[in-house]
Amino acid sequence: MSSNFFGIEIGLNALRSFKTAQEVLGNNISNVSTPGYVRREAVLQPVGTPDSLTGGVTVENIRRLCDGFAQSRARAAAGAARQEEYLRDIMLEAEQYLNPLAEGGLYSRLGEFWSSLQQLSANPADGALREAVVAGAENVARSLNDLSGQYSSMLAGAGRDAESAVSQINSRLAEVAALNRQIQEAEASGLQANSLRDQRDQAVDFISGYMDVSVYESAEGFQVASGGQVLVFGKNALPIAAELSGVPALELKFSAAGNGRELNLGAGKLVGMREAVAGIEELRAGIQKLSDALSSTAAGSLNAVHRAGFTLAGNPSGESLFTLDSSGLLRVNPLVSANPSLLAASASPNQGDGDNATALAGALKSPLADSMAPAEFISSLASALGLRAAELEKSADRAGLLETAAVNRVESMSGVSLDEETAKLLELQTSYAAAAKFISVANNMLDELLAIIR
Amino acid sequence: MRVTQKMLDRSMLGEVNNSMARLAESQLRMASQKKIEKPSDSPGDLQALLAAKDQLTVSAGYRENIESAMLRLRAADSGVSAVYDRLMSAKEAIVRVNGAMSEGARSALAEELENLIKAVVEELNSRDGGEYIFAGTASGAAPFSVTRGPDPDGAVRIQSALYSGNGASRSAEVSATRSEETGVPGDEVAGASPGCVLDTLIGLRRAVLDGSPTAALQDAADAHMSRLDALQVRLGSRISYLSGLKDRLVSADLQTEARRSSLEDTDFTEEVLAQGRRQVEYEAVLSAAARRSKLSLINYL
Repeated sequence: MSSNFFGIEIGLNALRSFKTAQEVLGNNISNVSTPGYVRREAVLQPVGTPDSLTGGVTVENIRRLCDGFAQSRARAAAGAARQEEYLRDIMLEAEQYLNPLAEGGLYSRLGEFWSSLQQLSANPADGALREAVVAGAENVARSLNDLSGQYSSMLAGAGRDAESAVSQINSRLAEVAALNRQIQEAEASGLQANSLRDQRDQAVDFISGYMDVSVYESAEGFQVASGGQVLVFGKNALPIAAELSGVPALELKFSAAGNGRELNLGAGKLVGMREAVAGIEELRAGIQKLSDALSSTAAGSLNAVHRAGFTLAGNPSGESLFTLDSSGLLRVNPLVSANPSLLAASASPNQGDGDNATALAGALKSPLADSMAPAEFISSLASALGLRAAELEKSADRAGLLETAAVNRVESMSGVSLDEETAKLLELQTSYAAAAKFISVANNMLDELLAIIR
Repeated sequence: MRVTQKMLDRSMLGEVNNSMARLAESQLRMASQKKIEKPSDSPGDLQALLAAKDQLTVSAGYRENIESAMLRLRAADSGVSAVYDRLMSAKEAIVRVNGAMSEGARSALAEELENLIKAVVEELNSRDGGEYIFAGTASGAAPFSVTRGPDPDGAVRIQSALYSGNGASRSAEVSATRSEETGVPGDEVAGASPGCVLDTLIGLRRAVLDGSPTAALQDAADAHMSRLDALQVRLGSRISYLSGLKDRLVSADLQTEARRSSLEDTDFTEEVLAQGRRQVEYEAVLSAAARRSKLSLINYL
């Protein structure tokens, strides 16, 4: 048989439960803008058996509201978006350097060099025009070397980005392992570990921007795997490493630091970095091919034409116009550079003969690299790069939209709606007031009963 | 689907950012007045744009060559004309010769002819931009050299002339498929030696001093004048051809420039209107975002 005070006990349990539920709602509202916060809900349950609900209601637990499937989709979408964004940014930067529409770029320098040769062909003995041709050749060499240097520095930058990313990923992997342990300990001692779970999710979200991860929750906590390698298992984390190496072309590789096994990554910013390195290497190889073609002495090359010509003094030249120095940089022959009268503008010992300058201009418009003239080669490289950059801009936008949609799906479950929380708060306030009234009525009844007995 | 605060904030910020990016893009196009600044702006139009720009550069190079060739040909024409005039003057001077002329008068006439010879040598050794016009491609040295010696009257005068230039003509590319000669070798102007213009004039001077007949030499002078006439016609025709070619290039450049402009340049009026639209759109997005942020039950309460 129930106690005489069971009514007050029911009311008291209700008061406590609604107070806790209001606290949970308050916590949700306070964290409406906190990154990684997953909204909570107080789960109420009746006290007693279904036949005899003598205890009223109590809070069973405080539940985090999250959808694991939506979360994994959002992580995959975030990885794809970061990959496309990184690659897009790098390709747009690479495009700026190669841009044939920019004043002062390699393409316009080649045009200026050709024009100066044309002018010299009409006045081959003109000292100022000879100076202009040498300056034009030096500008072409400088632009090619600058371009090659810019791409080399972009490669080094991508390598540094990869190292920095790997360092951050390793720190988050260690954080996930540590949180696995803390969550296990907290929950074993009966405490709520929702905030720790939020932190762990956030750490995994961060990692998934860089690499495609699969997350499986076991009794040990999160097991995080990527590229065919388990990186976090329970309290243990396996760090990863990045390496930019390879001959002749550089390659960016990621591996598990412990066992050296290469990670076969499918998506994420790290994949974007790897693809960016491959793309820039391709461009750098193209630029090197052009440098090689300009410094070649093969028949029909610019240098072969120059060597066959005659200097202003009427002597056979026998000298190349372009050479490669010991570090592989394209240079104008220092003899010609110091003394433009050694420029072989004539096809005969006569200084009024500008036929060799015409032939040099012709050679500059003839196939030298990949069956293309230098300017054509550059425009073809730029065209392919522009096409890729434009496609990446679109695909990055698409990936961004997909990510937004996936994040919204996660948010629709885990996010806080102020309107919804406020409505619930009003409901709980009313319930709380009702419980208080219930206690008051029960108390009055008890008083009346005691008065009757007295 | 539940709509949460963060979803609303993200959507609002996304709209503001997109709208601002569109506005900035429009402002950039107005400032640069170009719709293609880099290949990725319009990869499909890049090759056509570069082809148009290349054509303009190449055409500018050919036009410069044509202008330079025309200047050189005009200088040659002027030199040929001057030689013709000196021959004409010599012929006029010869008309004054008669049997009653005193030795002093013959010497004076010989001196007059000597001055004409010097003038012709000077014309044939004339320079343009530091280079000898009538030296062929050996333009670094004076093409005509003379030797002096005493005449029967005792005066030291030019006795012979030697052409040391070559017979090659300088040329310049004036189109992708054509090179044009930009000068005339000196031996073509003076005629083949012996019997060149200078030899004829020297012969006339000697005949005046000797009192020997000048008829054959006058015929030779006439032949030179006819040849120079023909040469001037040839030079005139070459200048006229180059002038026409230049006009055609200018006209073709106008079309190429129009093509380049349609591919690369912004339609300013259209862009101003678009910019106005985007400005309004941006302000509307900002205003909607500001109003939306107040529409919360918690704010209402």
